[in-house]
Amino acid sequence: MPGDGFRASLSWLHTWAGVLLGGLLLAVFWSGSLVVFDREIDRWMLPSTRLGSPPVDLSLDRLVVPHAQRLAGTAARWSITLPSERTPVIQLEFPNAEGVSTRRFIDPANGELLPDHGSWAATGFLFPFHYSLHLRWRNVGYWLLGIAGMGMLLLLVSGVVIHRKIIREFFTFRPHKSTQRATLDLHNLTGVVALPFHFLISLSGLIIFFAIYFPTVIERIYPRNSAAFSTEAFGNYTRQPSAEPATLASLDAMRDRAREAWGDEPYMLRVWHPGDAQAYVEVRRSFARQVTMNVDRMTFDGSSGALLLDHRTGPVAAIQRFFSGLHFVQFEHWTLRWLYFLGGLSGWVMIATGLLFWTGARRARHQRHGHTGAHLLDAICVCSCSGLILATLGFFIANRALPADLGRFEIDRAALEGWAFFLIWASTLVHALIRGAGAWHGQLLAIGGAAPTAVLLNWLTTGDHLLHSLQQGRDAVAGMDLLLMLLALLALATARRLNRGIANG
Amino acid sequence: MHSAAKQGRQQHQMDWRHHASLALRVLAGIGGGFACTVALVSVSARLLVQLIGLASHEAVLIACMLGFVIYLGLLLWAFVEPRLWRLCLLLLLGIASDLALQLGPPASLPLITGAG
Repeated sequence: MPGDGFRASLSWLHTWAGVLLGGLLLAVFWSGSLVVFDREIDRWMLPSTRLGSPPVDLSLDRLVVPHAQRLAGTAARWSITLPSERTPVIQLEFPNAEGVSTRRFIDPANGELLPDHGSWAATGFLFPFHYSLHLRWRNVGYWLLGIAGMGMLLLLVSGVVIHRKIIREFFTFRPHKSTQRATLDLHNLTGVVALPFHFLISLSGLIIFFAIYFPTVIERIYPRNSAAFSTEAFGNYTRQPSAEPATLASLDAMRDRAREAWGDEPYMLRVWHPGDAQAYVEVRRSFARQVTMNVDRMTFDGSSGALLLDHRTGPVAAIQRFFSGLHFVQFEHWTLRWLYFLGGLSGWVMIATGLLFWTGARRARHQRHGHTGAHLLDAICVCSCSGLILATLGFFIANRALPADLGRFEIDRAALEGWAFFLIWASTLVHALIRGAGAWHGQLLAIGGAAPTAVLLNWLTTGDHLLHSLQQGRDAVAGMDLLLMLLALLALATARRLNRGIANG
Repeated sequence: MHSAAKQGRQQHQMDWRHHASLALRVLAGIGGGFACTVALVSVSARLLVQLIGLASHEAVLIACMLGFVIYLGLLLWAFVEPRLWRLCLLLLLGIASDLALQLGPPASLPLITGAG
């Protein structure tokens, strides 16, 4: 055993799993907490979509199909996501000429195509970062996330075992004792208070991608026909195009028929092989009022409008989709949404304080013996806490500061925002490697400056200052501005306290 | 003097052996544990279909979801099992169970023909 006895071995495991995975987990928990509010961040980053409540009923055939046929042209598919409480616009998604997924927004009140902002915003950038770190090559990102998820489960179980006086530790917080003591108390407090949340959020994150982590199992049970699994479990319908042209039947009629069958609203319609005689339309049922992200879907023939397949969620698939829904928080419930946000942040604090405790306990010893371990971990910790926050703020600032039209430079504006994020993140790592634990102070001050800058830029470029947003009922924008200012205050207060701590020795 | 050097050499040897066994344990736990999990998930999906007659897609879903819990258990066990040989042996047995089910003609197993 790595340690002397059961508990010592798990303590060893807890330490090393935490040290090796801490940075990765911090990135996942930070981005995960943010994307709980991805639609709200989207409104902030895509100003033309700051619209009022969408109309109750709208005609897809009249408002959306002409745009889709003009924009998507000969794309293999295009999909319409209907407006909702959190997203007041119709979203049209299609692969462009290069096969890259493209989104455009349509005003549901009049069918007007909204200008392209050249931004992936939160749903297009921060959300994929959360589950893939934008490492698409051979699914490397998904596997790293799988390692992080399993590591988190291991850390939680081993943490509970080694902190056996868990109830007493939970009620212990000594902020004015030594920094080291306060750090450990905060680690235990945040770890225990949201323990069930942390466990379930990690497990459900893994269950979402079961097909990526256990691909051979599907192949074993469905030899040479993995697609059959998707059809049976999730109701995927497929057929090849015929190359014979045909016109599209009424989407409104299909939507009405699905609505009648479910007694519930559809949230998305996807047209496959548009313009072809073998076209088919997939209509998906909303899960705004349930945790389970059901896979109820009706598939219609594109040219005749006849029903091809009516799939309802089976009991076992419902369990997998329940775990998915528990993770994705797609149901409409503001109190729960805020609790998810706080739960995610508490996980972030737990991991950060755990890492800080490790380096704090070893810094002096490592310096004496000339080891670089504590220094390196200090740098990783700074870069994945304050560095990642700065990168996120840089992403927001780039979104508001870059000119709308970069036509002359032949650069994808959205990609430029993404580059701002990654370049700032990399430079915070360099800064932390040079300055070690001393980098905290500088980066916290930078956050204190960058967050109000983002708020100011939002005001200057859109005219929506806080009072104006509140007056106009633009809660998402106001909330984003308020949280940015709160972040600045927290960062400055921490920097001040850190300074005092250093002065006191 | 002579005995101190000998002791140091022994200490060095102990250290080396300790590190090697730790490396093997980490490798067995993470890599072997995952291979064993995949094997057990495959076996249980297959058994759920053939013994209980569960629909294939349901068997796959149940087995895969349980897989994460199985892997968590194996990982924890890998780091607390005092006998390293026992860990390696049981992980290999788990992996072998899948191979056996794959290579052995399923129809010849009476259990499976009974439910088939």
